[in-house]
Amino acid sequence: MKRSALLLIAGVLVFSVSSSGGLSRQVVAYDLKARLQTDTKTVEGQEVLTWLNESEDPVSELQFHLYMNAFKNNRTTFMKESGRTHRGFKADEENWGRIEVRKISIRDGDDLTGTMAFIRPDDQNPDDQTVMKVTLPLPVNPREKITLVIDFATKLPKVFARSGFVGDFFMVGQWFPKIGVLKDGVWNCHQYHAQSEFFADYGAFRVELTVPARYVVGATGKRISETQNADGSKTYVHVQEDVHDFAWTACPEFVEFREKFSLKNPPVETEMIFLIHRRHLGQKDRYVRALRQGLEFYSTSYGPYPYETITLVDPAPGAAAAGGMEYPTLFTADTTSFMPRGVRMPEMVTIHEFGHGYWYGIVGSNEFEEAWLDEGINSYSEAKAMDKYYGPDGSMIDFLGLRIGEIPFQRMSVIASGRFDPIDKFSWAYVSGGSYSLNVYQKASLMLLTLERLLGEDVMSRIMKTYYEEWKFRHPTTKDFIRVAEKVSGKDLAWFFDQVLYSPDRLDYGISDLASFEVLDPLGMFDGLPAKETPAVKGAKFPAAPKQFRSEVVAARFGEWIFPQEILVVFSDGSRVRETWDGRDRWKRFVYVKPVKAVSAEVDPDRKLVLDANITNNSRVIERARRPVLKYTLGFVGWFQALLSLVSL
Amino acid sequence: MSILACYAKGIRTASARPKIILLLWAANVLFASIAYVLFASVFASALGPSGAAAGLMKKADMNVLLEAIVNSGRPMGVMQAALFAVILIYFLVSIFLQGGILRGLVESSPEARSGRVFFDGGARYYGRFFRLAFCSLLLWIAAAVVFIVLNIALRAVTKNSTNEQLTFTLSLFKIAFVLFLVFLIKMIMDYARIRMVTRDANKALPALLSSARYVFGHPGSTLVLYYLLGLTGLSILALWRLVISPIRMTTAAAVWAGFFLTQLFIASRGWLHLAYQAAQLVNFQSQKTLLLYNAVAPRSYDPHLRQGDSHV
Ligand SMILES: [Zn+2]
Repeated sequence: MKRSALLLIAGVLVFSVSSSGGLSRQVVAYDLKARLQTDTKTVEGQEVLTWLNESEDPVSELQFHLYMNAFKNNRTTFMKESGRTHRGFKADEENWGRIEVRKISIRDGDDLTGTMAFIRPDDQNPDDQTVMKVTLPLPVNPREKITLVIDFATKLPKVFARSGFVGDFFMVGQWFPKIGVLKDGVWNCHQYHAQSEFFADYGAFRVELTVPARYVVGATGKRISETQNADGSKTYVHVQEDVHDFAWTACPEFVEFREKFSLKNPPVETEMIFLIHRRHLGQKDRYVRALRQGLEFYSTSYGPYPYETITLVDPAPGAAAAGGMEYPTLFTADTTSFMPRGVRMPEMVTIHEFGHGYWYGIVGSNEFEEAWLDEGINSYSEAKAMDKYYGPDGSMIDFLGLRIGEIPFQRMSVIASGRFDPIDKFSWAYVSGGSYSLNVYQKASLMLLTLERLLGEDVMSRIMKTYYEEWKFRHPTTKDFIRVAEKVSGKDLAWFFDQVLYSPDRLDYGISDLASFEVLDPLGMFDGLPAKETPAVKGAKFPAAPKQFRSEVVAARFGEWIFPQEILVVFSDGSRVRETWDGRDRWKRFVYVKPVKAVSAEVDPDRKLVLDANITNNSRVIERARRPVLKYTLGFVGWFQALLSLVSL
Repeated sequence: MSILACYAKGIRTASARPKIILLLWAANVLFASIAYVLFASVFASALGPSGAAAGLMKKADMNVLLEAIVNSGRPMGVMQAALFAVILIYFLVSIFLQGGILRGLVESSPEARSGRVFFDGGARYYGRFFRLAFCSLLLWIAAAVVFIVLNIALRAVTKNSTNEQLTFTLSLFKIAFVLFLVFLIKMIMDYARIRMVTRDANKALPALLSSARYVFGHPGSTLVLYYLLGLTGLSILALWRLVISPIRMTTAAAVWAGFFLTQLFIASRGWLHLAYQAAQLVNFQSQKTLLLYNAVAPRSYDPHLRQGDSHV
């Protein structure tokens, strides 16, 4: 009783564990008020945060992400790691960003401002202020809640990495003090790194956004009110449960479109909200079609889209650095006014970022620590969706005769890569940004495509659906994914994941030799026959047999990963032999004595192993096909001739 | 003489010189054959004895083609360097061809179309045309300066602009402007060569400068004639693409048909080149003829100049 009274005095509220929209366990509840100052590019905010201690231990320290401080100076961890460049966009040195926590206190209780301190759990960088801790006068006990009131101001940078402003376009993401995740009694609250994004607990958001009235606003969740204020501003209130973040955007040049999306099986009813910059209206139909495809593909492949809204934000011209980013129920796409239809970048980005609503939004893995769980699974999903809707041969580019599908595109970065990093690694621990992205995006996607071909599409589909169902609105790890894959497939997949997820090596099998030669009649000395007679008795002692050919095929392992192999050998009469090999040794020879020659041999003839770093060496033929060389050479020569004819003019 | 007449005369003259067209085409093919050998060997070794190669005839297997590109970094680098050298040598040879062509065009004797006159012209003007090419660096530098200034000015306009349409239009304008400068310099070079041949002038720099003066003095006729011929070239290009695009290159016969059509196009480039020289020569001579009546005739070493003039 005494203890409860003390807790009440301290402003710590005790509740039983509750769930919000019924989908997730509500660990956090944010009530945010934000006012956008368009002249100073600042958001003045107040946050009322209720946090539930789900652990078994009392907690007397809270940790918060202050992401916007990554843009505070040129020595933050983000700036150092990124070289002040993100996806080709450079930081603007005249427009730094920052977040200032002016006051933090327990509601109706102690002021904690004096206990605020910046910590650097990942790299001890003294110039990084992206994580803050506060010390509580009294601990929050297990299954108890605490409510804090935080006054803050966020100065937005000129956008070069996801969040910020360009002209009168504002993309406001990672803008408020966001509490970390208490995992196994330890705070999981990483600094803002160049190659990592976000991890947070689920809960409910209610956000009041006040902006000048001429601005068109989009935000996470559903709009429940819209009020014109006396000072010429407007206040929009958005609410959303079962999400772990809240982002919003404002721009007077947005044109808003709303369309319903319905699906019967599984049942989905949602409202698509498109905020398209006036100058990109010509691209609207591409966005609408791609978002419909995304909704249909993810709902049917994994589970029905559970939210009432989905908002697509088209960044203003000049704000592409804000494009291609996911937030719960809202994402930024990317296009330009003159994007050719055959370059399917807007479609790909739309499907990908919408897809993060599943892999990041609903299935909340830790992107700091295991980015492949969202980027890799999402790239896999995106490739499948793009191939489904745009055809596998030209799903990525189908322009001026050049056709490239997503899978060859993903393969290209992997086969060109060094062997520095595995897929599963802390995202700031990769040798470079390139190594991070090729591993967590492309290699992880190819891993899942390979697994799908090995287990069969049906089994893989069940794995993905089960993983989604079991881990939606929770925080799975790689081990959880593997557990589901093994449970559903009924197979021990350690051999697969141990190699592909945790080793930087590569998969490469091929045919190293193929030869076929006639089996000669016996010549020389044989027991029981005088040597000198041998030539004479040729044909007499050994009755004439039909010609026989000895064909040898050597399958080889060029890479380090060990995968079981299938080998197809084709003979000159069209007959085929399929062999299997455990793939363990460096090579295996297959010998055939037949009346016909072997004409070709191929490992992985069904191209299941899309992870294979070299498909060209997978097969070998006795007689090389010369026509394709002629075809491409003549094509090249034609262009070279045209170039020469320009030189002479 | 009107521009259209110059144009028509150029086209007629070019069409009447199949041997030169054949020679230009042959020179092109000769140098391109090096590209053939290089590309075929790099590509064939990238494919090796792979069975995947066979599939490329029917379909562009991007898995295999991208692998060939990614895994052939070094041979491709070597090929690139070698092809750059080929282009450079071809450029030097083309200087010789220019001399031969122009000599054949100004020569009005019955021997004008003989190989002797062609090769004699090539050798005779090689030194001065080479110096001319060297002097043209001046023009290229001037053009670069103009372009850089324009670029700086445009960047000031587009900096922080959120108007993609404007940025796009200005980029198109920049490309068009670069092409204009390139064509302008090429045109000045053409007239400089014509001047050197018709007057047997030896000094490259004065020829270049006076031909620049000439072009700027007659911007209408020179530009219209140049772009009229350019338009002819573009029409042929469009026709070539129109004919070749629908051909599905899945059989050896189709591949050879495509190659044959490409050779026709390359030959048409030679024809057009000839037409440019002939038309511009006629234009130059007709303008100069007018001037010659009013000015002191320049010192001439070429007995054919008078005939050429009277011919006009
Ligand atoms: Zn992503």
